[in-house]
Amino acid sequence: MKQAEHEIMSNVERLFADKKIDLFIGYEKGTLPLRTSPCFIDDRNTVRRLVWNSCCSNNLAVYLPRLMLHRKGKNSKRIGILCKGCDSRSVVELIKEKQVDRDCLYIIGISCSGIIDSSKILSELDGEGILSYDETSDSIVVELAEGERSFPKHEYLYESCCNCAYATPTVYDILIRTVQFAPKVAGPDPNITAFAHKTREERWRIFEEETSKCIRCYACRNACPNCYCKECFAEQTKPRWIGVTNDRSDLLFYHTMRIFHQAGRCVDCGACVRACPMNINLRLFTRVLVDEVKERFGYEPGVSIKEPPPLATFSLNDKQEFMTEPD
Amino acid sequence: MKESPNKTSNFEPKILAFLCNWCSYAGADLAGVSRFQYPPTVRVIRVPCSGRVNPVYIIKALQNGFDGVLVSGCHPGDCHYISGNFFARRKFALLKKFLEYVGVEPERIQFSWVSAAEGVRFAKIIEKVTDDIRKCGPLTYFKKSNNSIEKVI
Amino acid sequence: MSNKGKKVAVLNRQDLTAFFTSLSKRFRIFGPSRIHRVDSLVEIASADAINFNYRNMKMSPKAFFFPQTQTLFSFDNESKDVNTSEPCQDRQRILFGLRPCDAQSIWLLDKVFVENTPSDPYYMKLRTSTRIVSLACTHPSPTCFCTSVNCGPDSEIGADVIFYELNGCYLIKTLTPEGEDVVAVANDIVKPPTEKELSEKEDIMRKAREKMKRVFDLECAQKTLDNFDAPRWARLYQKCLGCGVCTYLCPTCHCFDITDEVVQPRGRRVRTWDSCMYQLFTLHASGHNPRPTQKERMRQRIMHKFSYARKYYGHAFCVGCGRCITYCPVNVDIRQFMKKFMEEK
Repeated sequence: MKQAEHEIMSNVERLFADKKIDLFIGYEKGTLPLRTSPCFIDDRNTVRRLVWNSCCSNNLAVYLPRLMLHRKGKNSKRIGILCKGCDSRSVVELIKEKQVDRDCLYIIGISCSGIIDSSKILSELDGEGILSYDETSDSIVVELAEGERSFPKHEYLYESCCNCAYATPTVYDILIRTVQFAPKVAGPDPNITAFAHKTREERWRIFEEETSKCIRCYACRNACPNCYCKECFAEQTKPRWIGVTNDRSDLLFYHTMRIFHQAGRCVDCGACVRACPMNINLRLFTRVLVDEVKERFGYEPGVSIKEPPPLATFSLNDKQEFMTEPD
Repeated sequence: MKESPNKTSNFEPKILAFLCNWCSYAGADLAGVSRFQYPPTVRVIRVPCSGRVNPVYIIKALQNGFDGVLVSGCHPGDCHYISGNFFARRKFALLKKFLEYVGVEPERIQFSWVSAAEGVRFAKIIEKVTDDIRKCGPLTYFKKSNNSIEKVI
Repeated sequence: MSNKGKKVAVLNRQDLTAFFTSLSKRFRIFGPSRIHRVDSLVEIASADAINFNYRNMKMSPKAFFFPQTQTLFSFDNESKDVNTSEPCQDRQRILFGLRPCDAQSIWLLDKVFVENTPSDPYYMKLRTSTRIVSLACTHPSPTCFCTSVNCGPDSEIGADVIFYELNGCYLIKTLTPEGEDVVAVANDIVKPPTEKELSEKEDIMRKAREKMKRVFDLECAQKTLDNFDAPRWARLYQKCLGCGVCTYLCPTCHCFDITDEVVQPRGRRVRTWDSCMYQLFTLHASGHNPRPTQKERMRQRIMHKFSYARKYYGHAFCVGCGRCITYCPVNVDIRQFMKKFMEEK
């Protein structure tokens, strides 16, 4: 960890010294235990704030559309960004959708073996104050008033990290390799498979139950790097598609459409789930589109800059077994 | 949800059909002019192309009291705008899969290709869609109630 | 805390169930309960459902007076009827076990919804039919900072009755005439406190206050807080996503939006929570937005809570509950901001 941190810092210092970037987005120590916070560095003297550890959860690509928007052309700001596997895939999608200019970006890729879900650890400690914490290559060690406790990393990962196939970023200008603490088990998420095998009524019951917790705060939308619309469909007034209340029907509508708007674009980074204050298990519903797009169109978001997004292209031979034919 | 006990008796579904102007709408018109009988359950919205249909409209239709939605366009290769229906095909494949996954009956949202000369085919498709949706019963869950009462705490 | 004029009594732990049974004959009782590992204020049937060991609830109690969705009136175009649907309460409510910070937050919301003229009838209907029984804090969360904003683990502001949890019993202090109503139900099962119990309470609260030292001083931070053009504002906002979680979970945030929902021929006008952190919050019909970037929005939120509110209402609109810190996805921390403001001379 420490070595990766030093590599990041020295790279960023060099980038500022060579005047290659105007702003760098990375992570700094958070004010709460087991948390980090996005950090904006515009001066090489503050580079020492940067950190890298297994709590660097935020998808930093979310900041790019708003930074790039006002700055196009020769005098654009050049932005450096630290990208894990999922973050880099978000960046690729943003480049493809022309929200971000690749030439304005300097990407420091970092290989990642998964990020710790601090809320899982905190809820096990049940309010017990954490005096300090540290991490070894395979555990998180917290110091409590009554002594130390160790949490093996692979048991406390975010769900989106558990079956991630992209430990290494798909796009970068320079790659920092880190030690992987456990071999990755890429493959279908067992929770999703279990859900898909339930009866239709049971699936609907769960969908409705999860979305009924929603308070329409839009944190999921704002945390998602793909949601950069100037005016979201949920807030449009001409015409008003959807009510703004927490009426059951509007909640279903909002979630159905927000998730469907991610079809072929969602990289399953888990930012929406982390941001949601009501702990709605959004990934249970977003993941199906990622899997279906892979199966039907052979497309994985965020892997190749050249490959066009699946809904912006077509094939003459697309399967149409779902179409209605008269008896 | 509970199956309505009246589902096979008096229930006549309300179906919204988005028909593309150049093919499906013309096909529907031909069915009418030729006096081919089909169930009067369909309300039609004419769109320039099936690719114009935004999934938001489909969900909004369900919210507003329709029991099912049909989107119909030109056959692949025959789109008046060359490729609109190809994009639609991809979009609706994903929409159908997604809605099925979250628990909406797959028969409620259907897609078809009907050309301007296929009056009989249109009538048969409407019959099939009406039949399928009649078996599903009235849609109660997406529907926005007129008198929604918020939780009083 | 002076006990002058305020009735103090002691309730044995084993009598708590009887107390609740008597109360439930007249009141609906809402208490802290742990469901799926989340502490929430829910309607409880008996004292056994209460979880006394909670830090604080995720959702603030403002939803009990100012719900996320509230129908203001409904109308019917056919019958030409208009119904003002003020919330109906067939029985009075008790919110039991609120932390003193949350109780104080209701006192602050009263300044907006009750003390303004005219007062809000929807809020009033819910407020006048509710009694607040708070539970003093002994274990702050890492994100609590009540003592920095003129609140504290045993603040009495906003509550009708305050409970202190002692060893084997509860010390109950009645704070308002409405609170007397509540405690009167238990007149035959409570007893006057002994000197030992009173000093035990003082001891417990002294220890609690020691755990909750002030982390910033609003007076010192005032210079930046009052300076609209301070260069500091340009550096703070960058990580904020504008997601609105802080405003929705904050017990004193009260911005709302009013919309009409019409499905012909009937419709209703609803009030829903809104957030100043959203881009569209101040978008004018002309297309101009006086708060175009997150910098202006972040500045507005902090100044509203800590500068304008102090001038207008005499008190910052913050009770130090720390929810904004705990649930912010990017770890924006108001305490950190205040400390930076204090550095400025």
